[in-house]
Amino acid sequence: MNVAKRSPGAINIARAFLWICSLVGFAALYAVAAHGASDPRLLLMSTALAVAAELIPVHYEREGVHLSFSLPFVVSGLIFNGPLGAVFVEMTTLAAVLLFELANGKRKALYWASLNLPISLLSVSIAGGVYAGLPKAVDLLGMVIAMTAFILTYLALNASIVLSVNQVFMGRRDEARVRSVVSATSVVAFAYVLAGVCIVVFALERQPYWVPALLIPILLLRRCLLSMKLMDDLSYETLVALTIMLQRAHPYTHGHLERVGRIAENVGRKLGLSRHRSRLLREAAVLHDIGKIAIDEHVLNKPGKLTPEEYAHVKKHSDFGAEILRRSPRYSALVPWIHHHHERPDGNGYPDRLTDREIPIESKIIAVADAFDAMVGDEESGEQRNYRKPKTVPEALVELREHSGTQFDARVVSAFCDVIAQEGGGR
Amino acid sequence: MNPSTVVLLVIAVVSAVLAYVVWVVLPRRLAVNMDSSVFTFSKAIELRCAPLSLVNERIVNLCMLTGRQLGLSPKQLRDLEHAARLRNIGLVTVPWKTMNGPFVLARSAESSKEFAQHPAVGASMLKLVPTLRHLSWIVEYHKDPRAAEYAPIQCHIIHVVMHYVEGVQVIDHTEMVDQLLVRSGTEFEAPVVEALLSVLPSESAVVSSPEVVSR
Repeated sequence: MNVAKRSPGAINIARAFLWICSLVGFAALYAVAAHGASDPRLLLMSTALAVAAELIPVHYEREGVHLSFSLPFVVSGLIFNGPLGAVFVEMTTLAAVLLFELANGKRKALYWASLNLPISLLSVSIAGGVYAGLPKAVDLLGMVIAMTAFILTYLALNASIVLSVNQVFMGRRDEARVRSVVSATSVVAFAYVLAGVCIVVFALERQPYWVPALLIPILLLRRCLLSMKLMDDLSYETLVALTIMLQRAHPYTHGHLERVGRIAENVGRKLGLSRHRSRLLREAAVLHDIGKIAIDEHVLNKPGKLTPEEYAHVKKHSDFGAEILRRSPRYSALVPWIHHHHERPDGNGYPDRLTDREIPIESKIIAVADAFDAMVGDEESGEQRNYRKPKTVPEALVELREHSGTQFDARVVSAFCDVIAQEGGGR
Repeated sequence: MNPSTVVLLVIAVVSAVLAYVVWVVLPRRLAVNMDSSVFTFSKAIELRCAPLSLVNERIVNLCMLTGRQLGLSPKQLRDLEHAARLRNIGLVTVPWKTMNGPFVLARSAESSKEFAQHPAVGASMLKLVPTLRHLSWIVEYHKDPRAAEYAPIQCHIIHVVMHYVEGVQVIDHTEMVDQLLVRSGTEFEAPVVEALLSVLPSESAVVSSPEVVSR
């Protein structure tokens, strides 16, 4: 995991701090590591494999996570050449990748390296210290424990330092990014420990030249992750493209859908929905009006009261929304939520006049978030629905409470008000 | 069996499973997801433009039959199907009344102009979506492939099929075939016209192949 974004300001302090930490870590390692005999050929092999694996990372641009696959070969350096071998492999690998990127004209690589090199040096030094500090064992179990301790310490330190640098020095406190880094780290930790066990066995059996065989599953794992990423990207792009289509058909501000999505997700979390379900709720909230693509924009934007025919036409948008998304496996779970976002607990909603208990909680949340944002508009841009004057946040909350239990679910309104209070207005 | 052999066997088994996932499972899932995304966009446009929904499926099926008759590769056929479904995505910017109002001949000059720009608008929208960007060229020139410096074969197929399907709504099939033959080699690509005419008799009997269309 690497620090992957530029931020001006306190960057020099961060860099100095990290270099000091690294030098201290490196010095400490020298003090504790009188461990392992060097074999230059094995060190060279581990380094070459690590460089090869480091050059084929998977980038998760949206999450700001950069996943590389060199750690198993750093472990190989550790097992065959001791903690200093691991440090050598790690540093040589990063330096080789830096040179490779500079040779390809990526001048920013120098900037990233100035941050990532000390972080890696610190992580590998301390993890190497942990490995060297454990009682020396030459049996399988003892070596596996020591190797696992190395990997877990390395990953935990690396992830913590990257996140700390982002949060403390660059002022980024992005919970989603923390989750992404932690979840990616947990997945790779398991795979790396398995690879480490294989290396330990090869070491005990004195057959180190089988280690390159590990490149095969690693390359396949990478292909697997890339394909899964492509699928994720496709879902995300579909969501974006659908909102673009909706905005082209009805010039909604992007801000409205974005805000409704974000608030709905937070209300979902407040009401105890799982993180995954809240995330889906956010997507449903962004897409809740997708059926309006099929509605006459003149009717939607009409300043006065709608005729019964026009109102009947507008009401079709929830059916249309469900119909548009029904065949998509990614979005099929959202269909009932979108279909019923105009139902009311008193049974006077549409399209199916569902009763309170029949309406999905997600639909109720979308209804409240949408109504609130429609009432308030975007104060900064002066955005408002053209048929009514925007309300202030307290006025909108009063109106939500007035209709709580009839038009809106009481529990959702209460949670919504709490979220808005926590967010200082929800804008 | 010594431990190294066991470990190598484990590596081989894990690699085999991963290879199966990488080359069989994930491409299938990706194709299904891609198709459903395209279908989602296409459904949105069909709902916005009701008259379109009457002919859309027929145009897609005839395009596929013609493409197969011309010996297109599976990849070209997939692009053809997706482009045929997305060809009208630019209609989203055309006012609702223009599309759902009087028939095309009765449209005002202004609304006809808006309508005529939809392929370019659709292409610009597709360019914003990296996974669909490769279809933007086909969508942009599907109404006038000869205006493009290089128009892929899919452009010509959609152009001819659309002309035929929309034409037979107002004139007789035989008359329409005569029109195609007269303009074959000039406005329309001759091999495409030939392929379309050869698949027309079997159109109603043939169901699109499961691997390409009916996912």
